[in-house]
Amino acid sequence: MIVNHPVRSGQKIYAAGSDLVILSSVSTGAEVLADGCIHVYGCLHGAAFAGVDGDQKARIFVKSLDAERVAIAGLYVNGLEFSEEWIGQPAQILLADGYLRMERIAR
Amino acid sequence: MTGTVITVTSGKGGVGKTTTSAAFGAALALRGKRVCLVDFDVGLRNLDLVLGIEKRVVFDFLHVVSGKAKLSQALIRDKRIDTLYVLATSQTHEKDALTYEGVASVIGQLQKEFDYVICDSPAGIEHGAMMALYHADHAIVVCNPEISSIRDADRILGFVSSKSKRAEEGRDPVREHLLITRYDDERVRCGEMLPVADVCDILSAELLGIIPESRAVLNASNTGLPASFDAGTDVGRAYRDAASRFFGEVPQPITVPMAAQVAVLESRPQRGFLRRLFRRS
Repeated sequence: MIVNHPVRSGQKIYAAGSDLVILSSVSTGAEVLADGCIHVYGCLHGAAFAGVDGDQKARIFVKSLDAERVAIAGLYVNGLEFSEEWIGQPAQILLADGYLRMERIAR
Repeated sequence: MTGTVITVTSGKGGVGKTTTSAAFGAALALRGKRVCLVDFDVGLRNLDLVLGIEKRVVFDFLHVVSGKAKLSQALIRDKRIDTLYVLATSQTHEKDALTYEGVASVIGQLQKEFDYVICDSPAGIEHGAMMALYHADHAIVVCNPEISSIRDADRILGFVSSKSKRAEEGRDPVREHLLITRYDDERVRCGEMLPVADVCDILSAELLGIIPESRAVLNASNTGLPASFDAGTDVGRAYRDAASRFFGEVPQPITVPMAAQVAVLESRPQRGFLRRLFRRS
């Protein structure tokens, strides 16, 4: 599923049975969900939930990380717990050994 | 030829929707366009006050919607700008008196007679605000450079893109414009307000203009003049600038001290206090 407009505060987008690609930003107070992976090519200010139906291999890719919350297969981390150095950076979030892991990706 | 519908909205109250409707509408009318301002804020009638026509309101928008008066009886022509008309709202009707069919019929009639129909939305995201944005071709989202206003603007932009008639019919989306009002360069410089670039970045919308915080706004509404009427004031120039930007002309650099903004951008710490607050709020 491809979304080419900004996802605004209060909006919720769910890609059932597929990946979700967002070509714009996700605002604070917005939620994006997918059974597969989530790609955000703008800034992720809101919440992103990948692997909603339990897929532990799902990942979240963002061009600029500033999320309120991210979750993969039900395991979540609050944006407050991100250390400052990650904020505004391109990153991927994946599930490894039962923990959510953040990794830098190319700019 | 059918007129273009422009909705002035914000979500949050008190940011300058009515001032903007009057000033922007007058700026279009001063360029010779036929403009009708429609007040959607049922029960909190203000637009007529700002334009100094409150004593001339006999029939209003609600009378026309309910078929009790003809449109021509309710339209009030401005005495200074002869292509500017106002359709005032009712101070006594219930909010729910605005029906989809009634509003559609009035907007349709106005579109036949005017180049631009400007809908002044009430605050909030309830019925009145939804009615005001339903027919929009363009939406001007008014926003102050502070966090709660920005969040509400973002929310209302979401409604504009999903709940408008254009969205329902799958036509080209409503053109979204961002107008920053009550901008105070001094307060941005000391970090109390967000810089323009941050507001645009958070809202990802096209910037129509920046209206400075100014005494001229209150003076204008006290005297019943649209704030754009006097081109000698900073606010007047800023609204006229916004109008020319609306027509795609490249106006002089945005009226509010751009130089100062550039300085702010250059000296900006990676993450300001407000940005952090906004993220966590």
